[in-house]
Amino acid sequence: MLVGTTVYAEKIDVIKHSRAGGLIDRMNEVIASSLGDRFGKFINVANCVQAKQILEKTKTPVLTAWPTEREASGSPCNINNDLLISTFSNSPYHITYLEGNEQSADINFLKTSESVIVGIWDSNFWATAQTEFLLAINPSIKVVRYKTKPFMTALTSGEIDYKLLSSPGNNPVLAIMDGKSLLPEHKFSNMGYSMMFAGNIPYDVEKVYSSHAWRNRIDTTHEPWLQNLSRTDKLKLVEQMLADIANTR
Amino acid sequence: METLVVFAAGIASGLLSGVLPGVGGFVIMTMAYPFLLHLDPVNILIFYVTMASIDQYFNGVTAIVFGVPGASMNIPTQIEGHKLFRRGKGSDAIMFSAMGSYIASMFAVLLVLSLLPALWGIYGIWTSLMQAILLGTASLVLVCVSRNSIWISILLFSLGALLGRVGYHTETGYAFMTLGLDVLYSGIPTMAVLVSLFAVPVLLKSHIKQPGNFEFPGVTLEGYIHTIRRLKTYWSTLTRSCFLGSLGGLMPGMSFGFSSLLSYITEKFLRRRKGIYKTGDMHCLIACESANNAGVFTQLVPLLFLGIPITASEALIYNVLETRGLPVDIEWFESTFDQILIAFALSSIIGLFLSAKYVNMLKIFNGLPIGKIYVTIFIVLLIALWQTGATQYAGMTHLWIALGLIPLGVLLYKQDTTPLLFGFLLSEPLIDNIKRVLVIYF
Repeated sequence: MLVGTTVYAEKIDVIKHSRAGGLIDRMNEVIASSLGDRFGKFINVANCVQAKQILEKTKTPVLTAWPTEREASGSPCNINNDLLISTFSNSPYHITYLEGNEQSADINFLKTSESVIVGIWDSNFWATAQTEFLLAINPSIKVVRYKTKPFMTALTSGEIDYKLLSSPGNNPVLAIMDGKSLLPEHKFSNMGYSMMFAGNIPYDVEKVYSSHAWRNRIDTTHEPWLQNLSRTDKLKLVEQMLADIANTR
Repeated sequence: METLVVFAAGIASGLLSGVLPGVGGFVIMTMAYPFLLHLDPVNILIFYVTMASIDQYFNGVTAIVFGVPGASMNIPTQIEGHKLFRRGKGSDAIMFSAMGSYIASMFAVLLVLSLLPALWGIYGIWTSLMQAILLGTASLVLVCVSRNSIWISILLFSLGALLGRVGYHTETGYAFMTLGLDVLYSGIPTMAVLVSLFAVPVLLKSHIKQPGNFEFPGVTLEGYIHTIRRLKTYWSTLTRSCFLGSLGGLMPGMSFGFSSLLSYITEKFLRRRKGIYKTGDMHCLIACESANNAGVFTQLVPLLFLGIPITASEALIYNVLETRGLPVDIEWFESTFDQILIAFALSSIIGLFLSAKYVNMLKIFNGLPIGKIYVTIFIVLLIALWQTGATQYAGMTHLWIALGLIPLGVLLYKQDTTPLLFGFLLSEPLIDNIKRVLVIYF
């Protein structure tokens, strides 16, 4: 009983491994807040390779939000499946346009025009699948890849008609890749920007979802991912998704 | 009342970030994050604007007097200003920079005010093609106007570009030259390159070529008045740099750092074409220092009028507002414009006079051997480097990387390493823009 109480009271640290104030960082803040009194401290590291080493070696309990693309084959941040506690969050990709652009507001323009340009985030992992999906909608679409900062002004510059985003902000949304619209039969129609829940202890992700911190998260388009499935099924689906994306290259 | 306290805190923070090399705006904003979370939303913007404005005045002084660029945007100031300082023209250099900065700040305010109806369309011309042309021209001119032979400059620019590529790249899924060291996966930090491959060779060369003691007569009110009278000699330089600085401020991700560079290389190119350029050129110094300040204000335009943060600090402000569930729409940002404008104008006046007070305090170093001052500066730089890294959770990592680069810096002390530094900074956005242009237009 005494041992049980001690284990229960053990503090859990949260690893921060990404740009301060960015999406992954914010999700780690949510995890830390959801822990309440059990939160120990943030372990701050420069990159995911260092975070991986901590996950693999530390004896103290740690948790962290872990972007799914890091589990792709060949990624230097790929961690052992034992450290993947669960899937965590997912936000579908939104096809957005600039407010006032009447041409882009028409979905037929996206689907049929021969001069459509769509901007996507410059990620080797996500870009190939997104490009395949967009070309399946309209083979004439030109897909342009942007790094984070120039991506912010891409729509306003007028050089692209649409921007594919997981967190659309105030941009009007033309369509969502959520499996219900556009191409429901396409293998990537249900794809979003997703994260895993990683750590070296067994911890129920539902505790995070039911917390005050989760209810008040600012990234509201990020919803619990593959909730109500067993861990094995969750990981199987993630592996399938990773394989599908790898096969598009 | 809160606004006044925030304004004062902004001034103190600007002073801190300006005086301490490496402690730039983003570092201050990260450190102030918990404090910002409790402020009135308009005051968050006032804090940032005041801090950035004051920072420019003090950063310039540090670069001129101590030969240390506090950030990459101060490299041109360091090159021209410190040379003037060592020639005994430090007071002139500081007063002309300060006056030029003040005039450019006011110019930027008036420019934005006069263009208010057209600001919505400002990014209509800021396409990848336009950015590629500007960055390409800047890189080319930079290589041509360096005091190295053209081949050495190209080599150094390429070496800088190579160092800029080190790290793991999400866009390719590959790690480049990380040598299996996990510390290199995030890439080589800018501050480490700035310290080891720019500050070290510059200070070493300055000490070897011109040893001696620190001599600085300070500045006076009469000196300022005299400077205003002499400013007409620099009228065309000032006008050019005000426009170029305002334009550079709009570059996503680079903003007023690009203002300074664009204006500096333009001026240097023109002076060299006339055959009258010599390192320690007052025209070039005024050009980069005034452009900086114009860019500090125009960089706010995308945030205030389009709701788009284009710098890391602005993204942090945006994040604070979002975290607090505040409306981050264009209408709200626009409604803050008047107050932001007043804060910026006031802080510019304060910066002008406060920096004069500060520089006069530096007379206490008079008579000290310059070598000892450079060693102290180097130690301060290393501490600042650690501190900057610590805000990104990597203090020791940044320090080790910088120490690893120092032998290369020492080896290059006879060369002008500016092309290397700008190869490091500009090559990635340049290649990125060219790639996009090829997809969009071909």
